[in-house]
Amino acid sequence: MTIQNPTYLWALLGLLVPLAIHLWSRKAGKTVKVGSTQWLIASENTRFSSLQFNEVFLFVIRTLVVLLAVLILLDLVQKQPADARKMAKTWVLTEKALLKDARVRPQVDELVKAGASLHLLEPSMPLVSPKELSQETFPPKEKAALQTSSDPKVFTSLNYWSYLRELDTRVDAPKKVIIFAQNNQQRFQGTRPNLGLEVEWINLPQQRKQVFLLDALQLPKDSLLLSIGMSDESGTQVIQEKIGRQANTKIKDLPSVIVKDAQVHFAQVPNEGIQIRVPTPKRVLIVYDQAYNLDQQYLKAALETVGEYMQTKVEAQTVAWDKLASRNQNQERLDWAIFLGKASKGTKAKPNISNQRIVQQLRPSNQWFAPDEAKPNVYYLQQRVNPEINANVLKVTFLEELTQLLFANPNAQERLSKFDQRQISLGQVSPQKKLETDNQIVNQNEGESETQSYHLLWWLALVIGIVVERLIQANRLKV
Amino acid sequence: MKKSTQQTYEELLSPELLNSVDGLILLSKMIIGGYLLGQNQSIRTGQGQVFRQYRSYQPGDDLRLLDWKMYARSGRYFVKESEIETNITVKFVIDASASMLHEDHHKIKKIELARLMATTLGHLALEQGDAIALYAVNESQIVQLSPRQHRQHLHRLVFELLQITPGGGFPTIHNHPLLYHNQGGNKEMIVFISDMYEHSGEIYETLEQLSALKNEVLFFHLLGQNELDLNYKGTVTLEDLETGQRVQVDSQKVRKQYQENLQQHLHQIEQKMLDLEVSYNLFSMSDPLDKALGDFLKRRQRL
Repeated sequence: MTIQNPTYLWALLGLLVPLAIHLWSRKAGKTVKVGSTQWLIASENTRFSSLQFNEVFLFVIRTLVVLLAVLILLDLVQKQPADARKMAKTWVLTEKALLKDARVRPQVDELVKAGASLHLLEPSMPLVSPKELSQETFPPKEKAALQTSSDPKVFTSLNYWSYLRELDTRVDAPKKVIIFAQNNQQRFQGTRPNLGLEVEWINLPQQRKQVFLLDALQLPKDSLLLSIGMSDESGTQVIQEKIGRQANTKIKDLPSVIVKDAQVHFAQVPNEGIQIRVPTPKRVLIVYDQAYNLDQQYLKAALETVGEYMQTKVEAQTVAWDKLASRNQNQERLDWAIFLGKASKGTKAKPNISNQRIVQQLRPSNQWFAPDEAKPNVYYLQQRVNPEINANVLKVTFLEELTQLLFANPNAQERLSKFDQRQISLGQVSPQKKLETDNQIVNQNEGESETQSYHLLWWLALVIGIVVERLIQANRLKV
Repeated sequence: MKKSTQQTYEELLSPELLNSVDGLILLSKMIIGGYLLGQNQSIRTGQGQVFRQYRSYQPGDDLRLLDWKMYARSGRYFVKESEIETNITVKFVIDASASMLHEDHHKIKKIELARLMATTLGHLALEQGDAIALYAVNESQIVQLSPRQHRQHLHRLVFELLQITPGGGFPTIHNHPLLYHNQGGNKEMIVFISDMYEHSGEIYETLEQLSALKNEVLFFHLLGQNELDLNYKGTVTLEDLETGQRVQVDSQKVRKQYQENLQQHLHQIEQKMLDLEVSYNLFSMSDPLDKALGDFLKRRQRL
């Protein structure tokens, strides 16, 4: 017998109700009008002088009724031995690292014992025999697969959808797979496949929150601006903390930060250090024609604002199209060049004065910047940066997009991907029409044919109990 | 014969019959059927219209009573005696307080049984040649009927009995002076039917007054069998019909104590009635009405 909803064990406290009723027995009973009660008053007072247990049979019936109601709530089922032949067509898929997980191992052992075959959730899905499982000597695997999921390259390369697609095309494909995995959002890339397999996902929620360093920016006055990421299954957030550049700094609610040479790391993970980034001023040239005079002013102001926010100086210069030729290009290195409006006649349309360019090209879009599909480092500014024409320029999204474009940090992005613990719901991971949302292994392992529920019996007994109780009570009240 | 009659009337006892004039008269006829045989003559002798016997003269007899014609024929002194016409009034006094709405297990109310009792005794009294009168009283209602000797008067009596609507308590002595008004000047026999539930001795005071007038008072103390035994099942809430007071009791547990209290109370009443020279009859609602008839006739003979 297994209790499916143990939370309802609290309902057993309901047994106190009939107990209290029968101890106190203050029920008024039937009301009878009589000529006089003057000879009763004297004897009535002694009636409740002490607690007495009465109507034992009625109490037993009521207790049984409450017990039956609790049993129905508890959803008690009888586990029956799984059908070995059915289980033989079932694969259990899991990562190697998870096989040592106390949450997974007992369930995997049980399934293997019932006849399911165990495979590792890797590209070739190698078989793990029961003997190997007991001795923990797993078969050799490819080098990439051998690495733990903490390796960012392996971690980000895991794609469950592609594994399942591959499995579906195999000759020895099982009818059903039971997958023990962490449903990290980034491991489900691409569209959800439509497979013939019956897939059951057993979610393994993260046990604790990941806290990691994303970026460390050198600030003036010997201080650092740390970007600290925190991620769990429900979401990821990034906070910024400004600390002094001393060797050991304690931040509230976070691990201590160690600064050594040009590296920063949390005290308990010295291997996860990041380089301190020294901000270099960004030079931006805005080339415009007269029709875009107001645009260039706003853009320049926006660039300076973003630079101030990012603690990095942005040196924005403006130059009209017709004066561009006379500008000495060799004098300075440019990070970005922004071209507003059309070039005047006789001027080179988009002079190659910088690796990274932004070109004004109006398009009907809510996005401010769009990359060129053919040329890397070329982006299109899709809206006018002129509040008289486009009120959107006053919204914060413009500054956000501008910041992302100018201050993209690939290292931080990579680290974010590595430590991102977000998971998608089980409802989204099943590639099949049939969906199992319950993450209880007991439910997942047992189909309806493998468990025997006594619901009907309990309900029948409950109804009979209530009827008998009512009959006894009605008979008792008869006078 | 008598037993079969009793069974028949008891089988017919129902609220429908007890609340109709014809029903009450029918029931009363059935009850008194056996009692009327040989009971329609006065057993006392004296002066009257109907001759009864000759008796030898004894010193002290009034000489005017001597039958001189008999003396002429026999030479001996005889006194001529006739049946005495008692000519009394039987007055029914009924307690119409709310407590008379008490029901017995047979779903018969006290007031309904009191009506049947009054009808039956009234019927019998009329057959005896007595006048019958009614006086039913509670705090808000007085139902009364003047004494008459006609046979049709029984219908009036029954009609008035059905007008009684029990409610409130029994009034104090000062609120029903008409009770003592004796219209015909005849001797009265008072048949008082009550359950004797009083709050400040008002029923007892009334009986005291009635008894002081040298009337023959016959008191029927009407109690339900369930009142005497407290034979309810389990826990019940008992509500006082007059005061509205509610008492929760487990009848099984309090029964003994209650019966002791009640018996003590009944014994006190009986003592008081003896003091007042009132004929006291405890009448359970499950008793046959023949018992009431017997008591009534026994008392009637004294008048």
